[in-house]
Amino acid sequence: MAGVKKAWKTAVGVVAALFLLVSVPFLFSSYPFVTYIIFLLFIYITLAASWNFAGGYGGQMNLAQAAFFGAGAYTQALLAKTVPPYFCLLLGGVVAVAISTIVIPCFRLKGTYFAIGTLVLPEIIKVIIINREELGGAGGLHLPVPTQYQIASYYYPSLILALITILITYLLIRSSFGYSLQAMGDDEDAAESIGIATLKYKILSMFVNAFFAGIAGALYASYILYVQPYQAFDMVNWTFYPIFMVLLGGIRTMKGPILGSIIFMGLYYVITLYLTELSLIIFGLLLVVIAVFLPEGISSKITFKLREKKGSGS
Amino acid sequence: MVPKSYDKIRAKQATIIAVLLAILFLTISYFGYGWLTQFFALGVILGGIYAVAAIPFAWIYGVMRFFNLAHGELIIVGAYVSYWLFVIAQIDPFVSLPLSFAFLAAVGFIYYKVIVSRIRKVGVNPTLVASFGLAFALQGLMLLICRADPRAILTPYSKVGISIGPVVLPLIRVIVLLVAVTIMILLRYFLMRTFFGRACRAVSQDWEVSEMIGINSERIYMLSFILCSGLAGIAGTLIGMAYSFEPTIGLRAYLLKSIAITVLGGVGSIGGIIAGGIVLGLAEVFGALFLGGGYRDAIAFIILILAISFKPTGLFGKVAHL
Amino acid sequence: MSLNVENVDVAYGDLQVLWGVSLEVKSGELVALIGSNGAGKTTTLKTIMGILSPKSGNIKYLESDLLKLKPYERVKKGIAIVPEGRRLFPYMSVLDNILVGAYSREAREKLKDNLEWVFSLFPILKERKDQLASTLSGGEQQMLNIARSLISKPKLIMFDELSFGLAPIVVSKLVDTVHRLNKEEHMSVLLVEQNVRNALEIADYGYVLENGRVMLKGEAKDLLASEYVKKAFLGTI
Repeated sequence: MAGVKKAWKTAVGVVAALFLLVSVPFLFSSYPFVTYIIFLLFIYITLAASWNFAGGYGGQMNLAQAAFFGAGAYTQALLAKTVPPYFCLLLGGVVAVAISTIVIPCFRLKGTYFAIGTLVLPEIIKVIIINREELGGAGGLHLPVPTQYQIASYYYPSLILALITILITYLLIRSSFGYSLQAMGDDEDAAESIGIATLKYKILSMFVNAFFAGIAGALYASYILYVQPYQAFDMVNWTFYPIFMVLLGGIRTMKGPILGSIIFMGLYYVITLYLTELSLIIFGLLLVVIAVFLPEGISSKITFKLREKKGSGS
Repeated sequence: MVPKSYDKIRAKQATIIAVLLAILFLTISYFGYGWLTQFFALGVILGGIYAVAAIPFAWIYGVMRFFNLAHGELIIVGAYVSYWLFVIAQIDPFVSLPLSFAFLAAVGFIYYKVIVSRIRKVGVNPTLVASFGLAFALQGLMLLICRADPRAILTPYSKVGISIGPVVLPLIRVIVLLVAVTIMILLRYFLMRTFFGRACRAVSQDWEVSEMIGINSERIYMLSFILCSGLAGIAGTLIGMAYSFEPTIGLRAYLLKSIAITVLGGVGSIGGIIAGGIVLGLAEVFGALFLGGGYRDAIAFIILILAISFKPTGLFGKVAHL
Repeated sequence: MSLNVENVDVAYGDLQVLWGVSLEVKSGELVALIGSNGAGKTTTLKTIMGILSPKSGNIKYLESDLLKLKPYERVKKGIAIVPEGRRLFPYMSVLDNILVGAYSREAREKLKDNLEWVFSLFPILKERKDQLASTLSGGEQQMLNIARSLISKPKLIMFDELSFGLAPIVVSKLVDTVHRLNKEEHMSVLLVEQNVRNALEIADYGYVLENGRVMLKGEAKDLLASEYVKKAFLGTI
């Protein structure tokens, strides 16, 4: 009986949250910036959740995400004139997956090694783009301005994208694929020895990561209407920030990327808006504080609380 | 436990030598002999300084497996300390070397006590977040206090040139290189011949057994951290004298290059890091020559990739040891 | 110089491995700790050394409570352990490996004399003193392992799996050395050893550990003659 009640409670909570999120553009119609921030939040949630899939659950410290994001962004920029909008997004994801195959030789490396190998991909693509005028060169590309341009029409796709990413990664984690993936993430050698084809899982999980990151990039580009190599392939923004969001929120959990993104972005924007001079300092110090006092990430604190409550109740 | 695959090591060395010879040939044929030695000298100087900057990073990683993302910032803080001491109190930067050391050692002590000692045991993730956060905070602090424009410590003798054979070099860089080399030689002696150095090496190779035979590993961590933070300060001062610097360069340039050199040269051997530094320095100088200045930082990347591809024993050696 | 382990329970997380283990090593005694693989012998030694902490129970040395001391502090008190598996520092020379065992201030003061003594026990180490530890043979590595723990001239020395993976000729020399350390240098010894006969022949007292519990204890010669020991360690006796 308690289980059913709890299920109802969660369902109500989720619906309420969704309702709230859906109405954001209307609530903040006179403050489009707020809607933009939340739009960005969903982009980051997508990036964090998709990275967490391969990096958290799968244990692959893949630092190439900026390449996936940028690939998606550039696909959008190049094809926006000729291809219908939503299809463009999907293509962005596909191109990102195609690009990610370059990383495959790195899979024979282990641990931090692999991480540094993947770090190169964004740089390589950046350099290629800078030197080819047909891809925009260093100046970048402008996208055609749509006739109806308002944040709301980008907000909902980003919300849906975040939801789909979370849903699909959730389903995958719960499936036998996710089972093997986590085994690999726990201990790669042990997984190999019981017959898990680790290379297959590494590649496939990276494809999932790349796909959603690519779509996120394409969506972002379609709103910003401008792509430029240093911004689209900026590692700090599109690789490191999402990873830190995951670490903050709790790696290897579904809630982690969401919580971490909210907290990270919340802190970042609150601080940069109100305390511009000291913003970097405070932001950095906050990261330190969180890492020191909540080393397992924020969601671990919350799960612990929930478990306590459950224990005392029953 | 013996380093395996000497053939692979030989192959790697052979390839590197082949590449260097090719560059040698290209430069001579294109620019002529004089230019070559000029660039070579500049590259070696750059490399020596990169090596001094990389050693503390490698040492900390070797002893306690701590990936200090704030390393670049510590270096730049050292540069600023010497800069301000010079501008405000007219203290010659060579004289301020020990002061820079002391200041950064103190910073390192606080860093260790407040942050590192608490999260060290938990795992890799909190250390990355915390050191990254600290890097941000320090960078922000420097931007706030010192503003973003590039600076250099310009003493009356900074502009003097010295000719050694066919080569003309800024005197200050030559002296800085000599100081750097002296420091590295001292460090090697320290590491190999003192009890503390031996303890550091023991802890980096097997901390559990080190505890069992009477080494207070916690103390070794702390002392290493203090020492290496101080060294970062010294590296910063040297950089401030020889080149220019500004707050954002720490993370971008020096951290990455320290990582690249450590991978290339191995965590354990100071000689390896010197070699790695020189390789990077030469590669940057010659790379800038052939590919243009914009690619300078990218060269560290490329080196890193090559190092990874050829290194037979993983990133920092099978056992990241000192 | 008494080591008293009183009713110690040790667990790895939720998995308990030692149950109420009590043992005593009197001054100058050679005590053997025997048992099959996984019985908890290494765990016991690690707990005495401080690498592991007991859930309950007490460990006293010379009447002072050991439990609040960290491992390196216990070494300072005069307890040493020769770890199992010959865990040497592979990238350090033989000499460095030995020297690093003399980290404490007291040990450093007597270093010269102790080093001579250690080299007299194991002359081959003196020959190979500048070689990398990883290049030594199995027997030599074990000698180095012991030398490293001896350099601080401990009062109580514990050997974890003395003869593991070593040829019989080497083993008998090592066992001899342990016996000499006990009889001539008057060091108290706690010896964990697979070869039960070797251990009990030189020991004064013995404990048999089984599944984390002390099954049997007594004078070494009595244990050697007991049916239980004969049956349990058939093949090793």
